[in-house]
Amino acid sequence: MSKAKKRTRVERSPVEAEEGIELPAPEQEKAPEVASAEATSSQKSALAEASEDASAEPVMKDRRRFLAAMGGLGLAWCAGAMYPVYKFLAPKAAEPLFDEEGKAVVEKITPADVAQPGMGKNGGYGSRGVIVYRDASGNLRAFDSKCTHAGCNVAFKTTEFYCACHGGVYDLNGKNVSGPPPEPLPELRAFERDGILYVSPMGEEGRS
Amino acid sequence: MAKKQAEIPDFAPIPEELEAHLGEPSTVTGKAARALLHRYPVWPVLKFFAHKRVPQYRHSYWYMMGGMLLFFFGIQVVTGILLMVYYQPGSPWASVNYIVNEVPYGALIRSIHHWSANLMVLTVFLHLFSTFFMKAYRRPRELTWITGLGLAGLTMLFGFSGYLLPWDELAFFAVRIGISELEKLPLLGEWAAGIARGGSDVSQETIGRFYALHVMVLPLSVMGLIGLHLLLVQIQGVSEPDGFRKLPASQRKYRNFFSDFLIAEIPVWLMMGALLVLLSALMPRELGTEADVFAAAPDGIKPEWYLLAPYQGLKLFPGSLELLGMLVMGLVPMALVVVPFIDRQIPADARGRLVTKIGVLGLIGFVLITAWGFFS
Repeated sequence: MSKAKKRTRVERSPVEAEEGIELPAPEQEKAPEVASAEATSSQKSALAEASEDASAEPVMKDRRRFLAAMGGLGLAWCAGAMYPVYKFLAPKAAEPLFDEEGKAVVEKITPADVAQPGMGKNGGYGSRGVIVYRDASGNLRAFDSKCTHAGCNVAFKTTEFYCACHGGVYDLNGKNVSGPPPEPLPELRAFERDGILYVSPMGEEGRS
Repeated sequence: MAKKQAEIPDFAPIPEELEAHLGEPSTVTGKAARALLHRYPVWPVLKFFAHKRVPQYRHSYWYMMGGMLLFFFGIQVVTGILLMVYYQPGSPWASVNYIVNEVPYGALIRSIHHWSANLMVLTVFLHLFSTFFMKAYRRPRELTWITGLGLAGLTMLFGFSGYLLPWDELAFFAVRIGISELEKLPLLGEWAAGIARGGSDVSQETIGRFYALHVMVLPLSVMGLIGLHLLLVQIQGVSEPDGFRKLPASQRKYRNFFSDFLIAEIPVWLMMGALLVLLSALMPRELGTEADVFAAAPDGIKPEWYLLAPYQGLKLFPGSLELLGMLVMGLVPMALVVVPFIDRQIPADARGRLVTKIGVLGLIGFVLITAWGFFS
């Protein structure tokens, strides 16, 4: 605001001198910065009535500056308002998948579903899908079932994991063997405790 | 105050050319029309609408696509408002299940909403391709073309956001795929995906966002942009293809848009309305089992026909090639945006003919990839 006012003053004075138009200049000199807009508009109407020749030019400049200042103020106002709106819409932080012991209960799969080698099922842990199966040597194995391609849940199909969305195939070690998936499925450590299946991240030692 | 008022004429004079259309001054309608026009002199507005005329030749029916789109959009607004009466974003699947199985004609209203959306997308394609091959995008209609492309994009967003709302298996995986592709885009991809989902995965949080988008943000945006699109068309009039321009003046026939052409469109709209009911009766929109974030994607899951091309594309560009595939797909809309600035010559020159050939190839490619996706 103050910058605009300063420039206005400098540019107007020669014109005033040349054209001999009476402007309420002293008032403007003294006026607080906020009042400059008012002063401008009163000058404008005075000038417009006086003539429509070149003397209107500096007034148009004032008007443009005022509009630019209002535009800038408006944008700043919008930018300020955007922050709470952005925070309002920002995604919720993901809940931890594993408890403080580093394990998560497997839902929708019971030990009976994976009792024999070759048996397996789709289920979930936390908010994610999981496949748990028992391999030929009797070990429990688990994989996060979110396809590494486009995020569908892949299905346990006895000899492979199959994604119905785009035809991705993984072998029973979670390795992507055909179709579009770019990476293997992340493996989890599966274990049974008190008749409940759990998974924990592969890197950590399980506590069963 | 009183003096000033006297300067303003109470009644605007009615132009003589208009008098002939108003009927006898003694009749009730004639009186009412005169009374209204005296008070609200909208004659210039009427004139603005009256000047638009449609070239008459054997392909004139292509000019009906825009009107058909308005018709389908109207159907979407009405059926959409009806569905909103019972739809609850807090219990999405159960409320849609209630609409389908309990509410009288609920299944019909929902199916009409589905089929109208489908035909609307189809008509967007027809409108776009007919405009493209008639070369109506050329100067001075670049901005009209671009607003049309914007409307096509909003239509796609409409389809995508509406898809999630029933919260069945298909809805869940379709949106999960769509957003996971968005997430893979460089720079802002992850951020945008987070905002779209409202969390790290598609969940009920996502429904609120898609619901607000689908029932408020998109309709308001579409209505605004339709207004601009139609205003631009109204200002410039309907484009005439090169073949029509070449005809001697005596052979160039036109029809006034208001109201001759508009009236001719009404039977087409009625037929479309009948088609919607027929399709909804023969092939009602199924509601799949409720989305289960743990369950595997069901076998045979496929997107809507208009997404089969990108769907097949996703399969064709595996692994690290995926970004390349998205780039190729992204080039299509970008090419459409710049086409009016590349192909400018009227009548078409060599470059214009090349653009047409590329368009034909693009259309054939789109149809073939769609068919491939359908049968794969």
